[in-house]
Amino acid sequence: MTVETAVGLAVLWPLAGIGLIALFRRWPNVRETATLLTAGSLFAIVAKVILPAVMAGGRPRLDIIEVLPGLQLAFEVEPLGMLFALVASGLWIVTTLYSIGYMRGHHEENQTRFYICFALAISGAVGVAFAANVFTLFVFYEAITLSTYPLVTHHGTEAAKRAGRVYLGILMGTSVGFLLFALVWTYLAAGTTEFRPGGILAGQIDGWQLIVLLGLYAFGTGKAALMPFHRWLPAAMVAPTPVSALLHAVAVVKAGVFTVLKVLVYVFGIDLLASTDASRWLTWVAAFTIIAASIVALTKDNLKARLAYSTISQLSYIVLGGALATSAGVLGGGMHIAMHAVGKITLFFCAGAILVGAHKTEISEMDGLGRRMPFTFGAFLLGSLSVIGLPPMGGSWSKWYLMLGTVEAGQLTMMLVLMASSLLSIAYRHRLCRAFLLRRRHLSATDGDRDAMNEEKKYWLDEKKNVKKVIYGLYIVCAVVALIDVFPYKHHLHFRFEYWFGFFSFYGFVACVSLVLAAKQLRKVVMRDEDYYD
Amino acid sequence: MIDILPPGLILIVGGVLISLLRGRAQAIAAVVLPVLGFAQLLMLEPGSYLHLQLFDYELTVVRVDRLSLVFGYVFHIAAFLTAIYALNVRDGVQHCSAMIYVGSAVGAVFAGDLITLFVFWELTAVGSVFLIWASRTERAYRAGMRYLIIQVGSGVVLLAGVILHVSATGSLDFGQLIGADGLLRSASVGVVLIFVAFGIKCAFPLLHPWLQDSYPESTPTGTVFLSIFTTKLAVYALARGFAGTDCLIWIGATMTAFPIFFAVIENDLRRVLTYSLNNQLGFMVLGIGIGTKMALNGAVSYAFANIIFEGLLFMAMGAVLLRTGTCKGSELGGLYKSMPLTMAFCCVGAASISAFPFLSGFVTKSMILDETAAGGHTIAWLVLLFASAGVFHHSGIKIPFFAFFAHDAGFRVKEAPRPMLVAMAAMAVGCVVIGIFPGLLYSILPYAVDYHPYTTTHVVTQYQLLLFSALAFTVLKVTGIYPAELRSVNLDVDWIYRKGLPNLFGWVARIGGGVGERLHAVVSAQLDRIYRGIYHLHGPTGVFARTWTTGAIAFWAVVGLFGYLLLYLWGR
Repeated sequence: MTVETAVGLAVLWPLAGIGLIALFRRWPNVRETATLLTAGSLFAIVAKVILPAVMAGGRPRLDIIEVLPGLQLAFEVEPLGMLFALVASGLWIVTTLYSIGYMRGHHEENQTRFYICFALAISGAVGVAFAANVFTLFVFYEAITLSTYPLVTHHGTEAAKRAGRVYLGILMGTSVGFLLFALVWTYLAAGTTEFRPGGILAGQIDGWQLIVLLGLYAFGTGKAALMPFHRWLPAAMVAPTPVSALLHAVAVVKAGVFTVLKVLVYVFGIDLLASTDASRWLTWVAAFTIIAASIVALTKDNLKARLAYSTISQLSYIVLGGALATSAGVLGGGMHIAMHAVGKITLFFCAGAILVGAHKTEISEMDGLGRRMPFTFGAFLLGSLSVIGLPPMGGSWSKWYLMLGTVEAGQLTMMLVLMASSLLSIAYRHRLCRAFLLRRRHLSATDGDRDAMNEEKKYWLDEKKNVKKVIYGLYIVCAVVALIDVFPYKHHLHFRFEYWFGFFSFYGFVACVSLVLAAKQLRKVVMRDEDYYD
Repeated sequence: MIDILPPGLILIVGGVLISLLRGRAQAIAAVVLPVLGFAQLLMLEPGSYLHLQLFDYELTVVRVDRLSLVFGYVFHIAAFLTAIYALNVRDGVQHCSAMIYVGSAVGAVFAGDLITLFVFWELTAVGSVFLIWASRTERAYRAGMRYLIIQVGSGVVLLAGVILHVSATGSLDFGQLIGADGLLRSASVGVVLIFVAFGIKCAFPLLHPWLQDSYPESTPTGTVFLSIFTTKLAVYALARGFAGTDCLIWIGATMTAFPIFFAVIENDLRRVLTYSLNNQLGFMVLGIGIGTKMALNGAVSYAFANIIFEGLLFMAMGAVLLRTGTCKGSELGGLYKSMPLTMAFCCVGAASISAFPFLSGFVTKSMILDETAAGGHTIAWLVLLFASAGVFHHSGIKIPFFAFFAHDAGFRVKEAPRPMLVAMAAMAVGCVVIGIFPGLLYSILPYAVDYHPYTTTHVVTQYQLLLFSALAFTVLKVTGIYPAELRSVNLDVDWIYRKGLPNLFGWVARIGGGVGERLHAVVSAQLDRIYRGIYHLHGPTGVFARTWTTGAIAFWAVVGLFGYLLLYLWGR
């Protein structure tokens, strides 16, 4: 099998799996085995056949059909797409395993449809990853949208349908309204839509046109969830949890940010962007999304909704990385696709496990659950640490390159944004740790037995006059110590005043008296009731 | 084999593995781990090891020299004794996180490059926060959250600084970062950010409130762990990167002075100790700021001694909290009757921190004071002298007095549990041994020491200073001027983020939410109008229908389709 065939095969492979799934729909165990086998073999094709070729510097290309002159349906694999394909196909295996448990444990209906649509979406994702030009990418991008719609509305309830309408509306609306337009424009301007290193637009269009076109691409890729086109992501939370994992980690949003990154690098070219500053505004939009989504996440009590806003915020990291138009930024963005995918899928799996295991969806109800589900919460903790970007978890290294990218681009404000976002993301994950730890336990104050006062023995210090003795003793000792100064014993001191009679005694006394008097005044300003902060 | 593992790794990995054990075995494992770690330290030869390649960077995970070794030793000793102190604790979370926390602090001390430092720096934050949360109260939970955000914030600032520093100089080496002139204002932005990151963990004035806010909320044993590592790690980092930085003299002087005012009026005795800790850090910071070999020796040795006696004081207060259920000065008193041993150990710690001759505080602190005077920093020296008297006042007298003496509050409790007594006894012995045989400590300091603490002048003047502060306390107490212990909280800088910012945030959120809703309504209405407008002009009956060209149809079809979708979405 040549690598080129393998590329085509990788896109078609999940479709073959669909045939098997449909065939075995009456035997769930066989059906799931078919899915798993398909997923496993797809990953094998991607990792064992295509990856080595790409790592060796090859760019396997497969032309399917030429629709118009210069407008081809074609695949070509380069490192960024390779990474995305690896993430999507690898996580498909994990998600399938998880789905089996979840869909059965939660007694979901229409499981065959679920697995079929899932495979379709994966096929779309691989197509997006391997697309050789914007046209091909667009086709598969839309395929993902359409194939995930039945997944989002899986439950078939009124709420699910409404959410599905928002989902389809925003994703199709942006892609048809902006992305398609951008595709046509690119084709007209450059005569091709091929992804080429260094871009295809240099010298073709410039000035404000560049900015408008970039805007069409950035907002046209609704899957990247740049504000204000982000509402579909929280809306889609009605879907079963494995679908959320698919949306957030495996295929959908990753296809979005991948598209943005790929267009920035291979259509515009980072040199063009860096020299014209055309993407400067995009960094601001991304920054706004990062911060605003984090703040919204803070207000959500529903665990999945909170995670959804966290995703919106994290996606903009990747957009920001591309928009910085520096190599470190692009590298960081690419890494973050993988890091966030792995981290976020962990979090969603945990959320689903909590739903199935404990039937809880709201964070405020989860107190004490950590005791019952230690493994789940342990995994959740690790996933959180990675998404927050704490070392040595994966998320911290992509963040490192993103921050390096801000330095290379000379945009230190963006560095501040990334810093602030780290802290915000701790804040919006905090209730979870609380659930992990807090047990409704009342500290039994080991109150001492205070009644036994009467019959116990008297201590020496209980006598008032003995206390007096101690105090007088202190007076005498002080007097003696102070009077030592009459002897010329002081040597090797640094300041003249240290030799003065009684300097240290005087200084110690005055220091403490003034300390206490000042502190008494301070009390007037700063003292509050004990429960002031509660 | 063992010498190429990074120091601290044994503790971290062991800490994770502890979670597999149950009950008493966890506590025992926590005692064994520091011993293993210490054994590894003894095998280390000075030099740098473990050069790893991470992406484009060459890391030096382990760098062993005299400075890192001192901190390595004392961290292990303290971890060992504190683990003994915690032998009766039956809470896996505490044992695990304590060991991970200690291990990452040790790892940070031996980090040879800035990325490794950053990794361990953040790990200490994550590891330690569970010690605060282990109290399992709402209060502790919130305090821990604030603590975590600030600690990670310090790490994030460090990261930003490192990135700027690395991209400016290309060097990852964690060595002296400040220039030879010792001026912060002539340093690069990256270096300044690193400085700030260290400053947050070191509780510089205004960056300090996390310390007083969070530590007293931890468990009796957790607070002891916390008091030792985070801040001393920061002291180490400053000594490594910013020795001789001018402004540290003033920062240090301020740090020694301002917390003691708060300490005098604070009611929670463990919180008093955190103010005291803050003040103690000031001495070390000032020593680092002076930056001469002897001043650095002083700062490092004081950090060493402080870990022992401050830990001892926290242990004593932890024992009191465990037995009585409270640590408030207003509730306690007369405990010498029921906890005499704890009282005795506490007094040794209190005398040590006050730098009474023949105890560890005296032989270490005086190096810093002498060097300050020798450098001609008159005002700084006077502030230090004031602070020394103040330390005696609030840590040396206030802590033992209000807990164990004062008015008998009537507690008739059991003496502290045996493991706690053993740990406290060992700490107390440590204070005395260092005080009487300072050469033991001097011999492991970074630079050769030629210093003799025990001169007549020195001993007598120290007694004068301390006894007259005691006299001042007595006089004020007898005359009733001394402020009573009251159930209260005192506002500190943390008011800004505990009260100020939340109020502001709530206010912004209300406004923002309102604006958002309004905007959504306006946008929907506008889209609707635009669609109608376009339909009016371009629709089959519109004026532009006459000039349609086939070329434009494709475009307008797209726009129309798009508009339809928008209507579909919002127009219902």
